[in-house]
Amino acid sequence: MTVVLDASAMIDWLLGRLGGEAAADLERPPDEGFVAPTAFRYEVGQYFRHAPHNGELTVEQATAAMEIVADFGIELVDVPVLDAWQHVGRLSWGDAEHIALTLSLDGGVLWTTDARLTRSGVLTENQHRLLV
Amino acid sequence: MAGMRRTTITVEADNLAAARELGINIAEVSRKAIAGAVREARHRRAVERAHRLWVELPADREWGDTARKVDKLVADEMAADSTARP
Repeated sequence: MTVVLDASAMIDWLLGRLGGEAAADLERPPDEGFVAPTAFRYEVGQYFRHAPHNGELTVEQATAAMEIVADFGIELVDVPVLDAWQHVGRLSWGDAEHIALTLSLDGGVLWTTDARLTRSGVLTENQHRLLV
Repeated sequence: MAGMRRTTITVEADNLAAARELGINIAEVSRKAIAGAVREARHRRAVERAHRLWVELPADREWGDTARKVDKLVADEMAADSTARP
């Protein structure tokens, strides 16, 4: 099993919003490690770039969050643009990249906290896990 | 040295002999083992730092829907870029 980590799952874990089981699984990476599309970095970066402006985090906390992301060991994959394009109709570009990457992997599973993604019907039950 | 973590990798003599017998490139295996150990150590450090970060965050904060917020931040930036003058 190769786990594709969604940006929302990473952010929610960084903010301590995941339940015990989901957090523990994230903290014990699979043998193959985590993979994510390059859009992951943009989405996570955008969130923590704005968090100090929104008053959610201090600059130091946002910086710490990005340093944690850097250490987390996520392999970024450049998803072919037309693979993502196939799914972009109902989804954001970032979501489309996550979906395309999951579908391109043999045994790929998307770990996400975005219920809309799991309900989209693009991924089968075995291809996604909603972290709560 | 302060702040540094030491990771020890041990190659058993029996395994070493077996690897040679099987024609395994020891140098290549070692590089992979070291890379794996470094990756694990960095991941462990990330988890420890995240746990410390959680302690700083207020437990009663209402964060909202993360995925929707990410979508909005990305869309807002693209809209700002499209209206920016050179």
